[in-house]
Amino acid sequence: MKSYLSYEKNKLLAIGTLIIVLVNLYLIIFVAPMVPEQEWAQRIFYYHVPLAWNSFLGYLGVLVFSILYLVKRDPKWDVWALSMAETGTVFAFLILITGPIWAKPIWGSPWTWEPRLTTTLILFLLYIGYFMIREFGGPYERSSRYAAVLGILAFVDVPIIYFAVNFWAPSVQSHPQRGIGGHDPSIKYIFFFSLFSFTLILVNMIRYRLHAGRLEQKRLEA
Amino acid sequence: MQLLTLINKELRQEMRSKESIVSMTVFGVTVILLFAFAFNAAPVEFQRFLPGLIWMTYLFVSILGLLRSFASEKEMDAFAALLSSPVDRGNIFLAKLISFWIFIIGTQLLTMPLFSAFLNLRLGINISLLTGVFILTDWSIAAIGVMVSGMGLRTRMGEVLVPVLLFPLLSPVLIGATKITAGIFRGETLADFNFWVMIILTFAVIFTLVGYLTFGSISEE
Repeated sequence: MKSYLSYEKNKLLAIGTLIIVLVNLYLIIFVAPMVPEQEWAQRIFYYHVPLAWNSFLGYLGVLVFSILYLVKRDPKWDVWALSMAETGTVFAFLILITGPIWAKPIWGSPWTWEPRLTTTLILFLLYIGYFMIREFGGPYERSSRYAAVLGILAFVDVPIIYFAVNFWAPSVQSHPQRGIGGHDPSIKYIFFFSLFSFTLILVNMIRYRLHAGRLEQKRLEA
Repeated sequence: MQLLTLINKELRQEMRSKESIVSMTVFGVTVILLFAFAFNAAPVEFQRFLPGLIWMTYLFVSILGLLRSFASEKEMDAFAALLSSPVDRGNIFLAKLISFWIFIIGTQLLTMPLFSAFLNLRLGINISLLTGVFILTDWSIAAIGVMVSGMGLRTRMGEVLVPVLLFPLLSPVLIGATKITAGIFRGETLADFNFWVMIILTFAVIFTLVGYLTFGSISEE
């Protein structure tokens, strides 16, 4: 098997993504209008929120491919689920980093028990367990089966965790992002462009991981 | 019928060995004692921490019990024998769930008085409400716990994996249970924490179902 970038399609996708990401950075730094009271801190929102959406997209993928794997028992779907889980977790980790960076100047403390942030932290911990079970779960076939069950459990748990955390500390203020689009319509356009570019990054990462996963599978079969 | 036979097997095994309840109770007593030593605080202050301490204790106790719950299946590969008999995998899960649920309730009956003796748990609270909450929460812990310990059974690092997986999965139940317990201590009624009962109930229903459906994939060789 050839390397990932030796495929014409992958190369085009990677170059296209790079260009769009650079444009996105330019838009965020030089074009996006300042939001009153938040100033520069608000700009991390073009980074933080698309990360969050894409991370959950990745985890939704884990759910879908885990169910497919349990039903069909085709290793192909397991590689898909693993790729989605790894990229989703990278994104989740970045959410946990960017959240406090934004919260420090705005809320005055890096960590508050904001429901979404807390849910992401718990989800992140769950996926650490997911990778541990893949690593220590025994033979490949068994550990991937366990991981698939856990992928389903984790996703089903998320809404319950979210509701619980939401009402656990009601005094903690929620993300004030809903109203921000009202300041200036260009914020919305730049946000959706950013969302698009982050989704492209996600697609690239998943494709790359899938490629690596398939190579690994070949080695296991050989 | 199958289910009853399986539960019967679990309970009879426990009746003869008394492994789970004894080890869980002794461990629970130790943890309560440690809490009493670690938080050498005034009785009034204790009222604030007590709901959390109670559920921390029972989470640790559950972990210990769950690690033991499949131990007899592990020895001499009895699990293979159980799986080769014509029983539904979902029923094996339910039998384990119900028997573990009974063990943890038994442990709580034996250890709860210590909270009153060592940690100033006042007795003038609504005991029947508290019992209801305990029974419901224990079911949730058992439902997810049996799934996770079923996975840990044949993995190399089961003792590590079970707590690592169980605590985050259980976080909504822990939050709900401590909130309700704190409410009961303050003398509130059921209507004040309806929401939390719903959360734990939802959790219990969903994970009993998911466990019933997926236990087959976990128990396969």
